[in-house]
Amino acid sequence: MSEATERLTASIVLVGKFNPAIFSPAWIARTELVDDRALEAAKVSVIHPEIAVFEIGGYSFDIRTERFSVEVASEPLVRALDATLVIFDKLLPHTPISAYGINYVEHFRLDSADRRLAFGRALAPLEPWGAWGKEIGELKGDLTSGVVDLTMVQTYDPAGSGERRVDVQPSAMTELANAGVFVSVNDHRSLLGKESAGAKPVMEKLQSRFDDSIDIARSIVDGLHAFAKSLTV
Amino acid sequence: MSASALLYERSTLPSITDRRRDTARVGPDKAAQEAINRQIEAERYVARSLLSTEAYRPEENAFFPVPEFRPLPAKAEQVFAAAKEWEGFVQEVGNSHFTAELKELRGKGGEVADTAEIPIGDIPTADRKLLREGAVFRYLVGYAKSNKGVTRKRHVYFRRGKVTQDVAEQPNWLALAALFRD
Repeated sequence: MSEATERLTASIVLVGKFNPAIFSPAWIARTELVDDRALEAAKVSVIHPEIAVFEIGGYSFDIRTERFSVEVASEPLVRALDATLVIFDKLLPHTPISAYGINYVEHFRLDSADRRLAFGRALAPLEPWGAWGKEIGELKGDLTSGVVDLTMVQTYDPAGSGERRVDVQPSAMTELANAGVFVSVNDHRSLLGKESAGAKPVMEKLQSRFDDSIDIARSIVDGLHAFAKSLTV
Repeated sequence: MSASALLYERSTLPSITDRRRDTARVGPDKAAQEAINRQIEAERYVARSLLSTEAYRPEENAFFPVPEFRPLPAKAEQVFAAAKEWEGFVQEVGNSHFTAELKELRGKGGEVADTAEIPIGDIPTADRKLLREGAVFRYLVGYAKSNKGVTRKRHVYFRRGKVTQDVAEQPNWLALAALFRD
């Protein structure tokens, strides 16, 4: 993370059995996460027995019957962890949870569209694509083409326990004028069939791993940014 | 406003007798509405009389309703990129500062705890009620980017939930030593 960072979010995703109907801005406002004033400024997209999507006090909640997620879009990112702990460690500790993910997303700015193109070419060279790659390389201006999505995956030991997945794409932020890069780091962990134990095992792992996971995600993004800056344009 | 206009104005206001008569005639709801309408007309007349002919514009509402005040979310900066982050717990609360034991997070930091004095002004106003001895918090220093440019920013965030902190669980050796001093 650097001065080139234009937008960042962190989120925690839980996989398990949830009851979206109980989640609402009013319910969140009764926890210690937000104060009463946040309730009045809350934005509700939908609250339904099978889905609840709303924003309150800087948190974005998306709850479905088999998935819970909470996202924060500014520092301190640890607020996503605290929200999860307050809900599932203090209030709903018997919720069966089988897997969790710690996600970090960042948009950063490069100094020119040419540098971003060089970055894309370095991540996905055109040579292996033969004549088609050569044709792509000759396109200029509005027709400029190349890689639009690249995913790297690290599988955790033992197999099936999870993976770290990193997606790199051109940023869709129009204000970055074709010089922005989007990086998403998803650290996914599974309990391998221990979901009947309730929320406690996942909460303990989340609390012990959150900072390290975000740290690694930041270092991956910083590494990509430094690499892009080092390219000769 | 002339005295005759004022007398006329007063005469348009419904008297208690008028209200009783209207209530008996058309029922309480309709009578109330008629009374309100008369009151509105009377107030409009007063407003027209007080305003000069040039200044008065009939398309404008002569009333000045009290605006509804709603708390709006603060305008967030575009992004706050924290370059350094610590976690610690509050040791002592002073008038303008509080002292805390901190461990640096991120990278290889975190092994050594430092004592620091932090301005209470770095705590968002809404969170100052959470400032108490033993409270676990994060301290972030970095750059806030907005449409106005980039500014340096410090931020104190008190942790929520069942947060246990390594540094908070360590015995305060100085305090323990003081117990055995004598």
